[in-house]
This record gives sequence, C-alpha cells and structure tokens, in this order.
Amino acid sequence: MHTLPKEHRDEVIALLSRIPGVEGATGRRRLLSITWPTAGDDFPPPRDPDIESGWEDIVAGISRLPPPRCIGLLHALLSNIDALIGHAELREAIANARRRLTDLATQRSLPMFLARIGLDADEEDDNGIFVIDRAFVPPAQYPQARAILERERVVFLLGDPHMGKTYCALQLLWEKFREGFEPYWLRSPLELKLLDPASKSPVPRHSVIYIEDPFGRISPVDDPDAIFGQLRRLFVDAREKDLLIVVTSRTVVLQAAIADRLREYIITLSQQLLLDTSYDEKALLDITRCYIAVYQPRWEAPDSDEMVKAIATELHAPHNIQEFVLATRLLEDPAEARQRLHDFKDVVAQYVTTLKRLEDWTATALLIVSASSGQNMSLEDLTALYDALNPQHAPYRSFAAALRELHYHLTFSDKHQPSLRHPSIEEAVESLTRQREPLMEATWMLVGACHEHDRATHARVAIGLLTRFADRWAETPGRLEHLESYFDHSHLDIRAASRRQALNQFSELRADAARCIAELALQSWGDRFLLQLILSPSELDDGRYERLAVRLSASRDAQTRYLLAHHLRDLRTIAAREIGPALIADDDGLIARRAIYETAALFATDPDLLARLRAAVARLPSRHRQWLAGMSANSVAVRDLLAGICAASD
Amino acid sequence: MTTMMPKRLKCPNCGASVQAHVLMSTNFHGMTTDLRRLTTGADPWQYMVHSCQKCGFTGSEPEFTGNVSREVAALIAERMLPHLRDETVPTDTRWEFAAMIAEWRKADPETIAQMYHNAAWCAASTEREQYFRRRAADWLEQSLEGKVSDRSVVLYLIGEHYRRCGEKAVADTWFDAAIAEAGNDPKQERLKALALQQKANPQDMISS
Repeated sequence: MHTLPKEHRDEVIALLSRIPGVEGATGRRRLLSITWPTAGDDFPPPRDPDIESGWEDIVAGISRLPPPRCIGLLHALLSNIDALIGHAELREAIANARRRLTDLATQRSLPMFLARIGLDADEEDDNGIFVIDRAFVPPAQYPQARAILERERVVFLLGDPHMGKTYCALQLLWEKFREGFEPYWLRSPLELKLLDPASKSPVPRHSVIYIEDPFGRISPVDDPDAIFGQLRRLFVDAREKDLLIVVTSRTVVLQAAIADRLREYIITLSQQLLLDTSYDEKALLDITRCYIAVYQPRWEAPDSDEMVKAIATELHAPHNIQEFVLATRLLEDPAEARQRLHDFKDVVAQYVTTLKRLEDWTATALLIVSASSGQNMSLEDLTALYDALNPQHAPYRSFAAALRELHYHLTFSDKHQPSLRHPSIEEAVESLTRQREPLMEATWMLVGACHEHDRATHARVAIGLLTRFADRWAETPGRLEHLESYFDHSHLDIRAASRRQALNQFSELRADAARCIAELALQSWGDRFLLQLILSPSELDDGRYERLAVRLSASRDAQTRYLLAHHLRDLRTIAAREIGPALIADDDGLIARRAIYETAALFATDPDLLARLRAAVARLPSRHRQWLAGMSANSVAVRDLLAGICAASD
Repeated sequence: MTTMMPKRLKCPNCGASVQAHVLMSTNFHGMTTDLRRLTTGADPWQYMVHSCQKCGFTGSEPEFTGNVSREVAALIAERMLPHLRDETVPTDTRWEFAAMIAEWRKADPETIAQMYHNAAWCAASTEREQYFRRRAADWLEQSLEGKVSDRSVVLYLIGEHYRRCGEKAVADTWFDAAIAEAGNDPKQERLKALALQQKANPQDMISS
C-alpha cells in the first residue's frame, strides 16, 4: 500500500536522479549509508541500491511505510543530499521539496487521505472515490450513521447493491481523517489480522477503520465464525483503543452469514441503504449533477436539466448513475447517450455488455481474478494458473498484459494482487462464462490446474468454480466426480474447506446446480455440514429439502438435532410440519423444549399437532417446563399452550 | 503468558499416537461476568483437552493414561467417529466431546457443565456458543438436585448463561434465585451485587 501521494514520490525521485554523483549505484549506496543512521533503527533496511530502477524502487519501498515514518525518511534523504551538493538551483528545489514534505506530515488533504488508504489519485482517476469531496451526496440515513458511529464507535452500513455503501463508508473515513483520525480500509477478511494487537503492524489507537464486506462480497466467506469472533473482539476493544469502525455488507450476505450472531450490534448499529428510501428525488438529481460536473460528458449542454432528470428518474441508484455518466462521457449527442440509459438500470447487465468485448484470453484472466476473489493468492500463483491453461487459443496474451487491459475493472494491492473493483463484476463474469463456450472450457481447465496443487487456496478456487457451474458440469459425464473427490478429499483440511466453499455459494446457485450439490452432499457429508446446507436459503426442490430435514431430525448428533429444532421456524413449512413432531418428542429434553417453543404457533392451529404438543410438554422434566414458562414472556403461542395444559389438568 | 509444549500421548481407546500441545503455564488478568478468567497471550483452554483423530476419544492429559470401558468405546464409535470424517476436531468440539464422555462416565453434573462452559468460550460469537451455554445451564440445573460447590454461584451462572443466550426473562428468575440464596451473607456480597447488576445493567466484563 502506498501511503504517500505519488506526486511527492515523483518529486523526490526526480530530484535524487538529478544530483551529480548519486545518480548511479555507488552514489546511491553512499547516500543511503549516511541517511540510515540519521533515520533511526525504526526504518527497514534499504532496498538494494544496485538495482537498475535505482531511486524509483528505493523511494517506492520507503513510501510503503505509514506516515509519518516515510515522510521522515524521505526528509532525511533530502537533508543529507543537501550537504553533498553545491548547485544553488538544486539546493533550492530540495529545500522546497522538504518544506512540502514537512507540510504533508500534518496535512489533511484529500490526496493525503487517498494515499493513506492505499489509492493513487493519478493512476485511476475514473474511480468516484477520487472525487468524493465533490461528488458525495449523502443518503437520507447518513446523519444517523454518523451519529451512531460517534456515539457507539461502530456502525454497520447494510443495503442493496449499488446503493453507495462503500462511498458512504469512505465519506465517514474522510470526515474523521480531517478530525485527526488515522484511516484504514480493510478490503479482505484476511486483513482483519491487522487488528490483532499481536500483529507486526497493528492498527494504532485513534484510528477509523473501514471493514469492507467482511462476510464476503456477494456470498458469505469460508469461515464466518472466525470473522465474527474477530469483529466482536474489535467492537469490545473499540472504546478502550479509541477506534471508530465502519462495516459494510450487502444485506443478504450479512443475513446469510450471521444467523443469530451479533444480532444486538446489527439491530442497534445498522443503517440500511435501500432503493426508494435512501435517496429522494432531490438527492438523485444532486448526484447526477455532481457526476456530470466531475466527468464533464461531451453530451452535456447548458440546458441539460431534462437529461439530468431523466437520468435520476430512470437509474435510481448512485452507482448506476456514476457508471452511466462515465461510460457515455465521450458521446457527443445527448439523444444517443439517453438511448443507452436503460442499459444502466441493471449494472450487472451493463458489465456483461462491456465484458463481451473482451477477447477470450483477457476474459480468462478476469475469470481467474474473479474465481480467486478473497483467497489472497499471490500474483505469481495467479500467473501460474493462467499460464497453465495451455495457450492453444490464439492470440495468446500474457497475464500481465491482460491485467493491463482489465485496468478499469480491477484494483491492485501493494503486492500487485488484482481484485475486482465491484462485486457486480463477479456476477457479470459468471453470466459471461455461461454464455461463451471457450470460457466454460477455460473454467474447466482452471479447475484442473487448481487440482494439481494440494493446497487449500487452490482447492477453494476449484470448488468455487465446480459449485457455481455444477449444473453445467452435470451435462458432461465424469466432470461432477471432480467435485465429489474434493468433498471426500483425503486431506481433511481440503475436504472441510471444499465443503464450506460449496456451502457459501449454495444460496446463490440455480435450482439445478443446487440439486447436484445436495445429491453429492447427501452421499458424503456429516450431519453438521448438512445442517448448514439446509439452513442456507436455496432453490433446492421441496422433495430433496424434506428428505434432508428428515435425515437430520433423526441424527445421532444432539447438537445437530438441537440446532435443527432451534431453526424450525426458519425451515420451509412443509419440512417443519414433517419433522416437528419427532423433535418435540425427542428424548433429550433440551431439544424437545426448544422444538416445542419453536413450533407452538405453527402447530396450535392443527388439533392433532396441538395434542402432540401438549403430550410433549407433559413428558418434559419440570426444569424444562419451568424454562418454557419463562420463555412464554416472549411467545403468546407458548403462553396459550401452557395455559391450555393447566386448564385441562384442572 | 500462556506457554505450552508438544507431547505425544497414547490413546487409551484405540492405542493410536496423539500429537498434542499441553499447557505448561498461564496467567490471568481480569474476569468476564460469566466468571471466565482472561489470559495474556494464547487461549489456554485449547491446550487442556486433546482428541485422538483416529477414534475420537477426547480428554485431558491424565485421562489419556486411564482405561475406556466397552460401553463408552461403543458410544465414542457411534457419536464421535462420524465427525472425524468431516474435519479436524476444532477446540470447542473437543470440549463438547470431553463433556459427552464425562457424561457417559457418570461424572458429576458441575464438572460436565464446566466442560460445556469451556466449549462455549472456545466457540465465542457462534451459534454453537449458545448451544453449549444451554447445555452448561442444563447441567448446572441438574447439579442443584445434589450437593454443589457453591449454590449461589451456580444459580448466578445459570442466569448468566441464559442472559448471554438472549433469554432475559428466564435469566432474571435465576438471578433472583441467586440474590435470594446469597441473602445477607457478607461473603456473598460481591456475587449478589453482580447478579443485581446483570439484571438491571448487564455487562460482559467484571470491572476491577
């Protein structure tokens, strides 16, 4: 992550390169040897001064340090060089650069903010984040979100896709940065480890932290439990460490990931950004005008009010508006631009349209980035996977070249690892892959390439692809067996990781893909994994769903039966009515009482089931009946049930 | 600071070799309101019970030197073995297995409750945590039918388990019972104050 604006890095590099005597390797070594003792022990050793890229590489390395350390070190470099030269003009230039660096150490400007969260404004100026100071229009809930953050130190921004959750979160960071907080943007669940006080460079006190989609971008991550534990600890620590925490998530992802966990935080600390309620007509008009002012589309005319209104009315969501203005800005004719409005109602469809223009190899590179999303694979690993897809399809393009072409769709980490710029691109890649046969074949080859590696990360990528396209693999004999071999892999960690990966995607699968996964799961998975499968909202047909529920209700594992009873109200009614009677009569009183509590309302309307409920309550040991009595404060149905039993016994 | 060392144990059930990390030392600072002592560094509870990945037998280090009855061996094969085909046994499940084996061996209810309580700590913030807390509460309730170490503490802990499961009305009846049990005994003053606090203004940590 670069933590210093690029213009300052370039200025220092340009100056250092002009100084006679230090432009070569010997001069660089000499200057670094003088600088390091003055820089202190806290700085890392300099990069090899003999390398060809010279100062550029050294300064870039230094710039990855967080301010003010990088500023201090560049300052020290320039101070020491000052003593080595006699050229007046250069001395003046160096003095100016040092002054600017000193100012920078205390500056709270937008470029400095962007640099500190790892963005270079001049590298990606299409990104709306770089114009946040001009383009941000707050949604209706923004004041509440800010108030919650200030009062509780934690706020969840939930909502539909394209509603500007990230934008709101970054605006909160930007505001808090100006108030003196240090901003951090954690884009992957893996980066949560930075929050551990035992990590090598823990987040300092008085920071504002944005945790983006910790439970996955479009589907829940591999191990939400672990992330939940980390988040909970963080929330507890927030006040003590003077931290402010902003979390964003798509509402459906969060609901799928959390179940009952941290409910108290979610209910009290969240603001939902929803279509229809978050942005009124005036806000949408303001957003449109802001983006027109920022991107200056050629179709803009002095009297373009009608066009502004049409955009705001048709597109609703801020992200769609931004994408439209950006994509049409080179069109001269407003009528032509207006004709394209309907393409941007659905951003995923628009991405698909854009991606269709990509050649197969470039699209394959995007597929690899998409499939490895959240796996933290190195650039070398990704390149190796890409190269492993034997380039029989001409014209072959290198992975690096493909990534350059995909620049608009990607962001890059400090280790140059690419990731998708927006979750909708992931959905668009899937759609495109299904439409284009060579890409489907590339996907299959990618599965094979991952299979060559006995590593959990590669297994998860392969499983992700096998699961997502299970319906397509089922059409070709032998292909689905690949998935089966992962689910029953000899290495336990890979076996568990592959099942979790399949579970995470289950809720998004088409009905036929879900059916394939369920069939395979029923053959080899244990009950605790199957329980997670049935609790995922899915398109699975009722017959298989019911069969799964019946199997789990008869499980020998008490934990499985208890959690099934606990979720009876979340199950499809048909399954709840089928397995409820067995669970309310369970020999384990803890399970029986929970099942009674959960089914009281559902069974009360059926005389036969009500009679079974009463009999089940009568069989319970007194301590469990006492619990039911306590819980009746929360449930009218339980209260009526207990009252009915008392009346009958009287 | 928690320290541990690697040690090879022999499974008393199947004879397999079990590579374990056993707890050597730990220290404490602070306490949660469910009476968990907080430690510096690694969580010591993960080094207190060990599982045989071949048969599923689970217990503390001394239990690896004992015998396993035929009945218990059969139950281990039926209940634990299936899980070993799914994944490496996580820490909270190890405590759960230990509690189940303790139950089959007719251990006293308070001991079993403590094992489920440990499982709940290891499963913090998951749905399993609440399951383990309910099991712990249930075993503590059963322990009240016999002789217990400290009745007020047991009553309080049951309340705290239910409170942490979000069942406030149930929790309050147990806090009330703890308060009544403590009466005016000066030795129970802190516990009584804690129960009153957890009813009115519940906290997760005991303030020092």
